[in-house]
Amino acid sequence: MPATGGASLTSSTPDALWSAPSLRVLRPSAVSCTDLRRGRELDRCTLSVPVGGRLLVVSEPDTTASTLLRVLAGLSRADRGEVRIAGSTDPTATGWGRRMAYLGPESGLHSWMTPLEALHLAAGLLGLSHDERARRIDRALRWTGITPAMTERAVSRGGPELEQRTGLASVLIAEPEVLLLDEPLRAIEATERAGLLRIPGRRLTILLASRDPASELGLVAHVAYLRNGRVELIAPVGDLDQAGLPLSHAGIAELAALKAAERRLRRADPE
Amino acid sequence: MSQTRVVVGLAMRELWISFRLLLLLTGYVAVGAAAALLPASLPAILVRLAIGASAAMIVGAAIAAWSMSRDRVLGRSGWLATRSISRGTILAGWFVALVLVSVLGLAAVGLLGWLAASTASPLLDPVAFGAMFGAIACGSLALLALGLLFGAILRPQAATTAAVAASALIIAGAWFALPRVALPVEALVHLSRLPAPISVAVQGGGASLAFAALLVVLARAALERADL
Repeated sequence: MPATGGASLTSSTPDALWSAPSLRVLRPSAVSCTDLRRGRELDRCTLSVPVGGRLLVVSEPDTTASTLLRVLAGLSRADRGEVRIAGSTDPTATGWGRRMAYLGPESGLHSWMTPLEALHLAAGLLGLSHDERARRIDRALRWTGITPAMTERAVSRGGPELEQRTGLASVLIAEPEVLLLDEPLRAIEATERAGLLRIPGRRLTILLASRDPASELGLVAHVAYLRNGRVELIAPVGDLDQAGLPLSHAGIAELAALKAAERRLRRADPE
Repeated sequence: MSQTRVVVGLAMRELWISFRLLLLLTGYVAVGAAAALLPASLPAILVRLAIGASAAMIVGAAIAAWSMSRDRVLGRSGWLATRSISRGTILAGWFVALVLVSVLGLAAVGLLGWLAASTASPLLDPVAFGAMFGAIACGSLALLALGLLFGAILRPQAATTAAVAASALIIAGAWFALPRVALPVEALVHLSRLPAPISVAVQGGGASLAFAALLVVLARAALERADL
């Protein structure tokens, strides 16, 4: 699974290549960033997430994880460093622009929009055919639980819950390969939220920034801990169980400290 | 689907639903109506039109700053940017939408102003009057671009305040402190006494367009670095 630093295998060739047995073993990187710097928030942050990885990003201070995801999404600019998504450094539509989607705490939708309007706009910007547009909209509406009665209601009148469901639906329409989720769907009840975020797809890579790691149980396979703008830990969620630590901010920080101590010991006494 | 057209459409609808479009149009029409309905001599009508148009242009700059900044803060620009719409297109879309509304408003002011001015002085040259309003429209583009520039770098309230202050300073500064520079709104006041009004209007319009272009380039550069 993910590893900090070092070379990372990347690829911009999607379908045919992913099915090659050799690459299934090698697991090319879906998201990688190298030496990202941004003010005091990111300091030579290096991270690589393989295709299909589901990574929880927790940080100290809390805002760093969000900043990292925003930089990866192209919403905030890094002072230095390189972002590579699906093997490409080009954020335009011809690069990784249409292969990555971002959902933040704000849906980014105009309050007067109805869910149907927002989804048609999102589908229109993708240049989908009429049939494909209808298929994807129908699928996104069903996944997010937006009923036909809600589709014609302005998101402002449906409250934050409808707005966030619509935000998720407009992201799913793109059928992205990489999904960046920054404190998503907080207005939705926890159990239902977990169901909505359990998005299927073996090739779908998810990075989830959260200030409440416990609420993300079952959604992620690995956890990353950033401190002072650097990646301090990337480990399977199972490592927390093995160490008898909870999936919480404090638990993850303690695991990071344990792993760091182990590394120091190994360095001091290689035998 | 043309991306610029999408952004223009969203901006227009946002302006309409938030009453900002109405506020801007009402501002311009009120200026024209005040000139047309209140009987006065030609110099007084021209002064009213010039001051009123200046005030409406400052309102336009404020609306531009608020709109751009608020769109950024609420993540709406980000929503578009993560759908492969470039930051330049987002800026262009807002600029076009605001220009359309402002030009419509200025056309209304010009028409109402012409009705009032031509009644007060039948000798007034309609071509010179129209050219001067064209130059004023070019000036309004510059102030809209200034508003967008502040909107790209500041939060809504700060951006609006800065846009109002800077626009007022530019108009007042050029009007009062630079007697050799004929700002289009200032030239409108002296329209009946200008020896070559069309030439003055073309010069003023050209200078305003160059200033607007510079500000758009700066706003584009600022938005490229901004958080969406």
